[in-house]
Order: sequence, then structure tokens, then C-alpha cells
Amino acid sequence: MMDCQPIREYFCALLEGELDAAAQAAVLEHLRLCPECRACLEECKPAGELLRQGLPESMPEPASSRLEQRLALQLHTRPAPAWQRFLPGRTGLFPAWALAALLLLAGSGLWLHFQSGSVTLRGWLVDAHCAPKLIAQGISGAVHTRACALRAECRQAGYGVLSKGQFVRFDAHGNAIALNALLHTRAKDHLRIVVSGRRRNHVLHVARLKLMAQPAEGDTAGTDSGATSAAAAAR
Amino acid sequence: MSSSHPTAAAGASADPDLSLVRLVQAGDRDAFQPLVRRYEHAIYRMALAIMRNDADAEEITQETFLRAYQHLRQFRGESRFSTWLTQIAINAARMRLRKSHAAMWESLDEPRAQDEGQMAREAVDTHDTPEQNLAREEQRQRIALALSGLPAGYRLVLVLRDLQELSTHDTARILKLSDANVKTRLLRARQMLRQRLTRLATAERGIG
Repeated sequence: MMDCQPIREYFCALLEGELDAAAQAAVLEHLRLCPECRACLEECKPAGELLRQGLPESMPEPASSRLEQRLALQLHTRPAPAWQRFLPGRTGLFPAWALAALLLLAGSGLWLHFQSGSVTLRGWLVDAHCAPKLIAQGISGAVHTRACALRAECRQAGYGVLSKGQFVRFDAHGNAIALNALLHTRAKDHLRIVVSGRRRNHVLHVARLKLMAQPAEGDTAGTDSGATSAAAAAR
Repeated sequence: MSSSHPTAAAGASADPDLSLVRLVQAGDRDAFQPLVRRYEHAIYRMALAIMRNDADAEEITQETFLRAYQHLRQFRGESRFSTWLTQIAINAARMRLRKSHAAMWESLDEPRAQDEGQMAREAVDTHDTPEQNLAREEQRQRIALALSGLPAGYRLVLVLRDLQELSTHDTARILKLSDANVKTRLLRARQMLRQRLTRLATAERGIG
């Protein structure tokens, strides 16, 4: 019988199927007679299945959401509209003269010109997966829960605002902001939002979104019936 | 990564991601999301196997996809997109290992105790009995511990070849090693992993 060491140097080639017939026959013959080398070959076999057993099958849900959120922000970051870049709070350098000029413009009615095309909608934050069901059954978006909105199929469907039986979808940037808001809120349901942006082709290109505090019992502001006319404003 | 797709040996011409990649390169940013969904779990698992802690694995996964998006124009399709993505993740992991002063060639006998078991934390399958869940969880922890004890240079080869199922040549190219070196390290890494598992099981029986 051949020495074990030279035989073991062929193990890699044997496992990769790279040995010629004669060499393979010699190695297999040695293995038949040598239990130590058989054990050694067992240790050298591919370990993919073993590795997979030691690792989670998927990325944990919070980490996956954070990745999606960070990527969405990166992929869809675009310069703010000109009028928005001059709003106070964006740069911290908003000059007093500009504020005065804006106030004058607003007073003279010209402010509307700067805001033309932009809308502010109030309603419930709902995903596009659940919204049609809620609308079909005439159920208020208030009952839609945060837990449901964070489910994979709901996240993947994207978000929007539901008001007065009408659902307006967000663009990808809006979805990222909505997801961020959902991840950080403690509210379990009554996900009341105020969202502003521009509506194009039935999609709201979100500039700002605010998830409001859960209303006190009896508070009707922001419910479907009390919401501002989101759809009308959007038109 | 290659578990759901043919291995890299099939060549870049059969790359199932190429059409989506071309869309992103042409300016369709939304086409990047399906690529992320397709590979986020594989990249995360690979990063976790290399880095041995959840936070680093998550950071590397994020970095990988952000860099991939930023540099996608440079992707020429000479390798598979999944291989290119793996290369970005490996570079990010190696950078992080260097920054954290984790030596690439640390001693065989110095497992990082603080990392032990971190990889194995995962919700158990609620369809199984508690005993089955416990046994699976224990096995996960043993494998994670054994893997975390391997020197990083061997662990990288093992992860790329056996977990990512990259070819010897692609592994060698990514790690800047010779093909022969990859083959030697791979066999040694497999042996070390299994020997460590055996030692762990023996030690547990001794304690029990």
C-alpha cells in the first residue's frame, strides 16, 4: 500500500473531479484499505450545507428594513424644488429679507403661484397591498396597524395615504420616508399622516411626510370623515 | 448566493441579472431594488460568516449595495453580477477587519470569545417541537463557534467556495491568491471546521 501523505495530496483533485482514471483508481484503492485516509477525506468534503446550518437563512427583518430604507433614500434623493430650498429650517441661513419678501408675496396672493402643483394631503398611512381591501369593505384606514404595514408584502407594495375612500400612492422617496416613520413610531394603529408633495400620474412625489401623534378618544380630526379633501386638493 | 442560480462557472454570458443591471445602467433606478432583494440575504449571510457579528454584517451589506449602485456603470459584465457584488462585499469586509485590527492570519487557537454564538442568534422555527428547536439551535451555535475559530484567511476561502459557491478561479481572483493556494486553504479550512466541531461535541459530552 502507498504511503498516506502522497495519496492525501490528491484529495483536492479527487473532490474536484480532476484526476485521470489511473490516478483515481490508485487513490480509491488506497482509500478502500486505509480507514485513516477515509476519515481524512470525509473532513475534506464540501462544507456548504454545514455552513448554512450555522447561519440564519435570511437577514433579520429590522436590518432588511434599514437596508431598504437607506437604499431608497440613496436611489431617490433628488434636489428639492426651488421654492422649497428657500424655506426656513432647510439651511439655517434663511435671511430675514427673504422671509419678509415671502410674507409680502403671501399677502398679495402671489404665494399661490409658488405653490402651484403642490398638494397637502391628510389621511391614514396605508400600504398599497391593504388599501384596496379597506376601500372595498368600506373600512377606515384608522384600523390599519403598524405591524401589518411592516410586513414584507405590505412594504414591497409601497405606501400611500388613504382618505375618504381614496388612496394616493407615494413615489419611492415617499415610501422610504413612510417606512422610516413606521419604524420609529410607537403607535400601533391610527397612523394619521400629513403629507405634501406633487401629484403626477396618480402618484404623490412626496416632499414631506409627518406621522401625527395618535389622536385622543373622540378626536375626529384627521379621520376619514374629518380629513381635508385630499383628493380634491390633489386634483 | 449561487444556490438559486447556476454557479459562476456557467460564465457571465448566462448571467440572470444582466437585464436588470442594464436597466439600472440606463437610468432606471427602480430596477436596482429587485437585485437587492435577490442578494441581500446571501450577502448578509456571507458577511456574518466572515465578520462574526450582526452589526458588522449589516453595515457591510448596506455598504455593498450602496457601492454597487454608485459604481454600477463600471460593471462591464465580464463576471457575473453576483460575483462582482461578492467582490465588493469581500473588500468591505477586509477593510473592516483591518480597521478593527482583526488580523487576517490570527492563530488557529484563538477564537474570539466575545463573538461566540452571535451568528447563531435567530428566531427558531415555530413549526418544530421545542426539543427539535433546541437541538437545531445548539447545532447552529456549535457551527458558528467552530467557524469563528478559523483564521480569517481560511474562513474567507471557505465562505467563498462552499457558501457562495464561487469557482476556485473567481475565489483566487477576489482574494488575490493563486488557484493552488485557494485549493490548499479550502481543504485545510474544511478539515479545521470539522475537527473543531468534533472537539466541541466531545467537550459537550464530557461536560454532560
